[in-house]
Amino acid sequence: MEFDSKYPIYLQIVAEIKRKIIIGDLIPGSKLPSNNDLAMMYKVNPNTVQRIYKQLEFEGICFTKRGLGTFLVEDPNLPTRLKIESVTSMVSAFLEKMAALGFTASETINIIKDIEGNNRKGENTDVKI
Amino acid sequence: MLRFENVIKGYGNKKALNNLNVSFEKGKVYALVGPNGSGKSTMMKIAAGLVKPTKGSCTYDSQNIGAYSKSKIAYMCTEPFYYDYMRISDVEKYYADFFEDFNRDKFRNLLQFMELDASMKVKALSSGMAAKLKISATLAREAEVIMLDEPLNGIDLLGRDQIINAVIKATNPGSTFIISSHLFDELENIVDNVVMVKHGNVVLEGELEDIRAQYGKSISDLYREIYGSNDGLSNEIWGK
Amino acid sequence: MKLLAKHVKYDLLKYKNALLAVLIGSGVIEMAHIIAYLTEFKTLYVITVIILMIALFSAFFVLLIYSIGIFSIDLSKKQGYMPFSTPTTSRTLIGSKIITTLIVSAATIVLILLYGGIDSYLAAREAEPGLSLGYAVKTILDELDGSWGYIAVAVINLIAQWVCNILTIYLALALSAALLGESKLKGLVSFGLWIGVNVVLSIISVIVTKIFGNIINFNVDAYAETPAEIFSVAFGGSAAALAIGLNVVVAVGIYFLTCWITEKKLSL
Repeated sequence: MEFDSKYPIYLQIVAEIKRKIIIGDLIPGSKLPSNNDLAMMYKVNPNTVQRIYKQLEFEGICFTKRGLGTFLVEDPNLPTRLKIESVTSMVSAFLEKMAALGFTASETINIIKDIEGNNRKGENTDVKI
Repeated sequence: MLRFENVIKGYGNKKALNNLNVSFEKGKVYALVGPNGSGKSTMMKIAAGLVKPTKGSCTYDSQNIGAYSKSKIAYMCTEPFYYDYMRISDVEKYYADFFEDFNRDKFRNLLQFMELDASMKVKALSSGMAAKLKISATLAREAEVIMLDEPLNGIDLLGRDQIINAVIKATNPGSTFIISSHLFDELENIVDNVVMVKHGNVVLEGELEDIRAQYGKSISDLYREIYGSNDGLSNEIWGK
Repeated sequence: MKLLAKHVKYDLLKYKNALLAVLIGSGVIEMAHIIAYLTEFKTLYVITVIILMIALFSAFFVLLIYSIGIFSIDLSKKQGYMPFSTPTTSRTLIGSKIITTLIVSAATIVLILLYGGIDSYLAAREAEPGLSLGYAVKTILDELDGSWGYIAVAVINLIAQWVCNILTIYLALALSAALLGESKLKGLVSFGLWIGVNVVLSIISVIVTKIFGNIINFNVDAYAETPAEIFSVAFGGSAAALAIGLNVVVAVGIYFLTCWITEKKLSL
């Protein structure tokens, strides 16, 4: 995995783990890799892995059983919860970017409808703004 | 804890280290960054006991650098330093003879990992292979402090990956790593703390993930800011 | 102690090729000498003994210079990184080098004595055909009887002086390495320092001799037979005792000074 070294790497891995939970690669209740294994998987320092698991624990996504390892919480709603969080922040960020270009939320919605319509018709006309 | 207190090291008129104050804590991976001549190698050599400070003190676990610290600190320098007549197996025997923390199995595993053979003669090794030998021997020592001076120099891309992997594997809560390198792109992912030196002084030190969170900068960005020339014009236009 | 032995092992290894050359070279010449004796090849007989003695004596000095060279290199170049990064005190490192030099010198001297002895015996047989080895040895021992004390003292004095000289050289090398690092003037400065140290030592020994010479009773004419008497003659009534004592004290002092310089002031 390629990291952007301008942003905390541990947060980037946290996001990646959340993504895996959302798409079902990681199942609630399952065991997460040990510190050293995760470090080798992502080619990072095991100290960074500690931060990762600490952050996930803080967000209520995982917990550590001493001597046994780190596990995802047993909550079957976890993927949905994360999906909602993730989508909400993605869209909010997107709306912020559009606002920076001068578009209101409803204008943005119309543009989205336009583009979606074009895609359905297979047309390549410019959007009306 | 490895501590430099008011260390000055002069060579003739020049000062390689100018009132250096810095501490290295247990269990962390440090990137020691700075251009050539900024004092990185001198710092490491003083900690290794090969160079003596002109003024000030360097201590490990509150003891002056000496036989005790040498048993706890492993140093890999940039120059080749094994005796010419030796084979790799002789190097292994030497380390085993003098360093209690030398793990022979680990050394052999690293040799395999780096694709080196124990019967090879030291003087017959290419510069890349010699560098891999140095690193294998240094990492095979389960020392409390491991200092690597430009460990990635002269090594091809795949070799560098091998070395970074070896370092990750060797990382443990009891060991401190101090790595100096120009190729810090490859170090970005494995480093906890960064110490930047300029003209024999520490100009920046801190936890890298905190620096990223607070300032959104990588080691490369910091490097350019601290050592590069200030181009005020472009800052104005691009409003950074 | 174990560390010292290990360092001596590795220091000796550096002489492997040189020692082997001396051993094999002198062995071959000696073989040739013996063969020349047995086959009565006069020219070869004479030539080989001359060559052998010149070779062995030169070997002695060459090895000494080689040893000094190694010491100098270990103090100033990257070769020094290996020993100096081991968890060993400078005392042990320098002690190891001194012991190695002594071993190598001793080896050459043993060869000289051995081959010298054999060749002298062969030469004696030339003069007195049928001379048996046992008889030759007994004659020599009888001659020496009564002088063992003096021989012992002389030999000990020689060794003490020898060690002292080597240590002085090492001190000069360590001083110049500490002061100059990698400078090209180092050889010259070492030499100058060596002369300087020797001058200082001479002055000290003159002063000490003047002070103590009047206290110790010199008695060089006594004849002694039993070991006890030999000992008392050797150490109670000889100027050599003072010389030995002085050499030992100086050697020890220089040794610790060299160690201090290497431990505290020397940067590789």
